[in-house]
Amino acid sequence: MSRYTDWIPKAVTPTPDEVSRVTDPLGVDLREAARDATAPTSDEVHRLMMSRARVRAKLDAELEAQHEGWSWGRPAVLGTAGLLAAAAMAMVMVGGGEPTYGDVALSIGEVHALSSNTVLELGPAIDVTATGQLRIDQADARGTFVTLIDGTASFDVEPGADFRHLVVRAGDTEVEVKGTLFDVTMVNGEVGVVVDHGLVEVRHAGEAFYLATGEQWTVPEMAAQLDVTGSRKLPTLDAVEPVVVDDAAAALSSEPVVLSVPPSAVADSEPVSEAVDVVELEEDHKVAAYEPGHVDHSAASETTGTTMTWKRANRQATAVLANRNAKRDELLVALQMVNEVLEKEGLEVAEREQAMGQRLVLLAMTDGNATAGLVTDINNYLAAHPSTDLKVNLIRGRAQVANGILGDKVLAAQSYRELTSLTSGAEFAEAKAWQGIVAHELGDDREAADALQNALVSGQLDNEELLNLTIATCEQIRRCSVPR
Amino acid sequence: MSDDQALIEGLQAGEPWAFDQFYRRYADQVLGWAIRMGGPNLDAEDIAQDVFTVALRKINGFRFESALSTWLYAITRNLISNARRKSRIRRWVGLDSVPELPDFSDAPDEVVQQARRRRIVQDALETLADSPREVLVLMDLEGRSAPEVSDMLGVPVGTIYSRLHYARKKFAKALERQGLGKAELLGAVSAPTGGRR
Repeated sequence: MSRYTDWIPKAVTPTPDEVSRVTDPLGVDLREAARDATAPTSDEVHRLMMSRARVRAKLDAELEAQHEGWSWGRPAVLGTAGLLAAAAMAMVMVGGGEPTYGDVALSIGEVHALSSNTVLELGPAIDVTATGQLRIDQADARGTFVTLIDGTASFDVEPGADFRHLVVRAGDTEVEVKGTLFDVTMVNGEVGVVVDHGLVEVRHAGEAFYLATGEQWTVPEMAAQLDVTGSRKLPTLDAVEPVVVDDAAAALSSEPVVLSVPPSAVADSEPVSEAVDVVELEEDHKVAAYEPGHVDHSAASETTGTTMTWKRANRQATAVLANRNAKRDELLVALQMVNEVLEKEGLEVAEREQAMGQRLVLLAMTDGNATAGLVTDINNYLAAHPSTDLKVNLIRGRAQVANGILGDKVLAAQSYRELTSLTSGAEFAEAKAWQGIVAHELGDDREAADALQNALVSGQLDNEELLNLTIATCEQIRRCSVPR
Repeated sequence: MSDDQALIEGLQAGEPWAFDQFYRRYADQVLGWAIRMGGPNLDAEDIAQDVFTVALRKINGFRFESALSTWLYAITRNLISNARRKSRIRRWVGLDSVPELPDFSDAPDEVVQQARRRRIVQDALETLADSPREVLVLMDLEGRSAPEVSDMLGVPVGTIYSRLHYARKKFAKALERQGLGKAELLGAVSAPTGGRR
């Protein structure tokens, strides 16, 4: 039988039919059946078409918020048509050719004075709205480096987007973006950073720390913040150490803890609406109340007032943990609740720790809300429990969070390396595979080849998807060969 | 001026007709990508809605350097990749399980069988890594040519063929492993109806 490689050198592009005849282990019938089986149904297409109005309203709202206060001489409220056109007028493109601002070239390295709220697009995933003086120091495959000399710049970076480093410098402060919306100001030499949502790393005077959703920082506050906590003000896992149910009231405030659940989350998230004891207090807020230390030990009893059965508490905590819109503090309280519940369920300490570790990873899923302190929390937990059975899980969780959510490949590589020293068998093979994949992404093909081959030679990569990814990565590296 | 060029300019100018036309022209395609690339763990309609939202949000940055469908595919691929990663973590911590088929107790037989057949194909596609999977989807399940897919993915035609070859073998093997599932896909056997799978 001829192989597909036989006809590639002919410099004649074969038709799909020709390809099929030579190399098709599927067959026409199976291929067509698979095509039909996965074709969208008319109902699905109809529902998507019907969602247009919602999408349009959402975009209108976003654009109106974004352009509020513009000095375009336009009415404050515009429809989609006007706003899209307005945005287009102020677009600046950087990367993939000479960037322009209107008819003026925006050169790398030159200082540009930008009038009110000029919109710049730094690549496909980064939008900047700036007023003042700004310089783009570099915008290429290695990353985008911007210096704010004076004024305010608001950066909107699509989370999870494929972009290299984005670093904003203002005075002697550097802000590195992790996928977020944030403002940097430089007024009379004083730098300020406000994070609307997401996560940024701020470096100043030899210190580095994260700012998360809703947090802000200016130079004078920095000293106080570092003095108080050594790093950052966010609560750490110390706040959710396992407690005995009877001591819960003493461990926490005696006041009932109120978990605010955004109305949108209640509406959008079925688990929240199902599981949380929602009390409508005012028009804009629905709250679920939990009173620490008053978990009802009788599984059969019903909720009364703000006291609830432990089953209900468990469901509520799980719902909050599952809620992408939950705030970090709410999540920490929910962790506390889970811990009480787990103890009530008679789980041993090790099992509770296991559950807690899993929930730490769960925290990472709230993206902009909870990722900021997650790595710190995991490290604190490991420091407090150096011999925990959960060590492997926590380090694996940290690696996954660093690799998949924070995009911090260096931390991911370090975590996978650590994991390989703690594991054996299939777990070792998996850690080695990820170590190699991340090393390749970091450009260290020597380490990548070594790790990938280790993983493949072990023959213990059970996860087929990971096995395929490992093979595919190995094939991209000259010094790596896939074992037969 | 190509149809897509007029459409893009209409979108950039905020023309209502362009908004509607954009959906009409690409709804089927985007949903198909979401079903085939997203797999059984993701909600294809949610993904498709997100794709249109992101595309409309970024349309002013469209630079006519690629076909609109290529640009839209890149957005879809990125969104699916992120959603799959999050879904994996959710399943890892035990929050999500692989969703069962919905309860079709009141649905017509044909609807049930269509859902079952889709799931069989999605499960088989899940055994493929992303790169060969997207080649199989774009060529075999959508009928695109290799040069077209090469342009869409930015990889040489030769690589497209080698990925296709690998993907077909894996996909066929995965269907073989399903045994009755393959027969059901080909219509050789009928699925039981009226309940969960």
